[in-house]
Amino acid sequence: MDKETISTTFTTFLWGVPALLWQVLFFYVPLIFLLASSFIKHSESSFEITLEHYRLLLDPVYLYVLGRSLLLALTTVTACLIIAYPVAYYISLRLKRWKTLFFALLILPFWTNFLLLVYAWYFLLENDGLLNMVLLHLGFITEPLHMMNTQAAVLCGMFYCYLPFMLLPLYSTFERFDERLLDASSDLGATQWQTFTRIMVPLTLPGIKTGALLVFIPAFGEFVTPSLLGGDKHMYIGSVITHYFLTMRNVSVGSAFTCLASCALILILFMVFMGHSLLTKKEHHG
Amino acid sequence: MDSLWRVFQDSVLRLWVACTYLFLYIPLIVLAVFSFNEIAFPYRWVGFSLRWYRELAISAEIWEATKNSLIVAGSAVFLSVTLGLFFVMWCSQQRRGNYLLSFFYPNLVVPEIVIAVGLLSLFVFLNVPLGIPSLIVGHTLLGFGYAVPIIYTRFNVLDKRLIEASLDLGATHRQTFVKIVLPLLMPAIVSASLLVFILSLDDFLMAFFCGGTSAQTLSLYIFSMIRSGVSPVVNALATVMLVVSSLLVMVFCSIKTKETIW
Amino acid sequence: MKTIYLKDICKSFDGDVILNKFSLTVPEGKFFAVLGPSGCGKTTVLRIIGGFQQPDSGTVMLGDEDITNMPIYKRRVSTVFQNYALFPHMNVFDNVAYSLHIKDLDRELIKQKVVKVLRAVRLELHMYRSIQQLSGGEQQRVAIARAIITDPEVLLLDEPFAALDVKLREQMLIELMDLQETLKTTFVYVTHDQVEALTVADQMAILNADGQIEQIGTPQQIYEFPASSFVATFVGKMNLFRGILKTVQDDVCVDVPDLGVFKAYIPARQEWMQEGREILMGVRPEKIWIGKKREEQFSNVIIGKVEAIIYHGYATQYGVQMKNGMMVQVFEQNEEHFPKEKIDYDDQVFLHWQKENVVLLER
Repeated sequence: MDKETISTTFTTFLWGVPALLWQVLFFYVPLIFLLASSFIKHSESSFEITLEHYRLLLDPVYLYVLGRSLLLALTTVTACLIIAYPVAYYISLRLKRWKTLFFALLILPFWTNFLLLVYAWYFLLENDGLLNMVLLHLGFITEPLHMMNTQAAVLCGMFYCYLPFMLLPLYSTFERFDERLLDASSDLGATQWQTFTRIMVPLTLPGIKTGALLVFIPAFGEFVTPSLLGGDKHMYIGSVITHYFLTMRNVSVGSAFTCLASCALILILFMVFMGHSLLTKKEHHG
Repeated sequence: MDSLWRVFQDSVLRLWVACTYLFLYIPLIVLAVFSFNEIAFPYRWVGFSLRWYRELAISAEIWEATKNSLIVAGSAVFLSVTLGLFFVMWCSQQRRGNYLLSFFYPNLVVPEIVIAVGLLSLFVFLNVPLGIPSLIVGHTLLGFGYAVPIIYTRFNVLDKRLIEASLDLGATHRQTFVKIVLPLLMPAIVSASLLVFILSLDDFLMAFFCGGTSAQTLSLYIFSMIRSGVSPVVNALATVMLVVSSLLVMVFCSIKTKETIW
Repeated sequence: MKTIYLKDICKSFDGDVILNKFSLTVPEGKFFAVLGPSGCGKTTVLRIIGGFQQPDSGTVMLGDEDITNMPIYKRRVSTVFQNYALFPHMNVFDNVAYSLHIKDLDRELIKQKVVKVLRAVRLELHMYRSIQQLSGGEQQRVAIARAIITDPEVLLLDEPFAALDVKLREQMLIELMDLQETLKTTFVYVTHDQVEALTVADQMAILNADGQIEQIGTPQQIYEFPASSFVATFVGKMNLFRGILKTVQDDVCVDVPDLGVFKAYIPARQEWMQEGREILMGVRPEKIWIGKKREEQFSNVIIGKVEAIIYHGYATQYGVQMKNGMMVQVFEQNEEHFPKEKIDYDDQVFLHWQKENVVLLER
């Protein structure tokens, strides 16, 4: 009934200030700064607002880069979702005794430096890597397979690194899932497929959405794994950003491209959100 | 017929899960196994040897990188968890405190590369030299994104009557915080610390952009080693880091189970 | 021991007025109950005494000390919370010793005091157990022990036994009464359960839904001589008849339309008891004698039809419908193993009661 909070020692403003200050100074200000620098051209004497940097980016190459990153992110999300969903279901709802152990094993890669994970694949897939050596030795192939520096290798690496991000939300959603609903559904005459599509998927949708977001957003800006496993053949959003900021030391164009890519991301997410709510509205009306 | 189909389904599911786990762990196991190989490469098993671990132990470069990584991680944990704790406590006193907390949610949502690049531009503009301090700043920022929600969630479920009971029994506000609130928040503080610690150790992007040329962290070292090709020393390093990660995971899981008791 | 004075306390939340010029005097050394429906503000009164809430205006005095603005930890008032609020990370000993640890007392002295107080609540064998291992009743006893170890002037209890089952609650209530007798501390006990209040209280105050005091008195006074129909119906059951006050041949009577004229007895004539005035006549169900034959020794008789029978084991409750449609509740103790008369549904029965057992209410 009463909503009065009981006071503590932390009433003075000073307690909250350091964290807020830090956040504003090092998170919000840089973002504003990024936005601002994309529009500003300054030299020793002059200081003007311009769209010059953005004009530079009108080249279709950049659209191609955005498209590549989008494709990579989408395939990663799809692959992770398809593989992770049954695994999360099995661990959460089917395993009784070994559940904690398997769960710990699942999140261990999450707690490992992703570069090590990339290195593991590097180790396996190199021309004179383990896999090739084993296959050659066993006589399955006569020449080493070119597995490195391929799109397949990149996808493999991406999937390997991002799987935990999809698994964890799905697992926690399944943990909260009421199994008896599945029984009720079969009891009412639904086939397995119907139960799956009408009961399990809709109810685990929040987990799917969280997992998809947790994978998509970082994967969109990913460039390290593709560059290490794909041989730097293609440019991704991250590689362009690196190029402008570190190699060319061109903060202006770099910020312009970052802003552009961020807008693209926001646009994509917005469209997905719109599409989803349109679909759910249709369900309600239809 | 139906039960046969069910058995088939079950086996397929089990196979699927088994394959996933194998897929996840075979590369890591292989990595570890070959760190004990006597010779470098090609990949024939010659004999068990700790040679590469010895090389690891005497590598000044790796120790330097480890030291830097630990300094950065430790500072980031300390700063983000303590400042985050103070912030959460302060927020609980304010009206609309939860709106203030959402100030920190974008830290998790905005892609890390954008945050890193933003910080880089700011530092360049202000002529701040890049190095360990700039990296600590970046990691603390990422740490806030985890520490604040974790501690806040735990504080929210705390029974406020316990604070009232403590005051009722004669303890001042400060005594109440030290004796009651802090011990009950401890699981959240520890798991947040672990999470931020690992996050900092494993982070690459922030170090890549804001670390400058002077600071070498473990991630940067591994990156440069990958670029230059495969090396058994890296295998050894990877194995050591895997073991450390496993221990931390065990600690984390045991805290989670303790938390549910309270 | 000190008396508690609440003077003109006003308290509002988000525009809702909970208490408006609320005044109460709690006599020292007594077991005082505050009874009222949920949401009436009784918990707010308790929390204001405890210091967990500040009144918008008004004063709180403990003896001759003004404690309105005194912080919680300085007040010599202890609270027993409804959900116990035991510290989960400490065992029984540490919970009870908490207030002594705060004062930094000598360890031996602390142990002595803890043992003594745990003995008073019969928990000395559980001294080092963790809280989670205790049952609800045991946890509540730890909460009580923790509160009384500080030797407070006042002990505040906010529906402490609400979460316990009925049998345990009865036992705890009796133990609590014994404790109060021994300690002679002022207990302020807040509850919405009128049976609890009647059981434990030396004195009680009834609050209505608007946070106003309807009546203060001993349980007997409140039950037998309620000041209003609210009190009459909140504490126990009451049959209320609306009628006109008349004087017929020196007898005070109430003319109830369609039902007849009934005799009443009033020990002292009140101001509002004017001739011809509309009043309420109340008769408690247990004061009514039910039978299939008419008895002549009672002052008042009425006829009706049995519509409801509820068996309580030790008693039977009848719902008897009157000529005008009103349902009268009758409570008859099952005195006989083999009752002489059996009353059934749809039986025509006579209800009798003496004029001394009538209560006249203004509103």
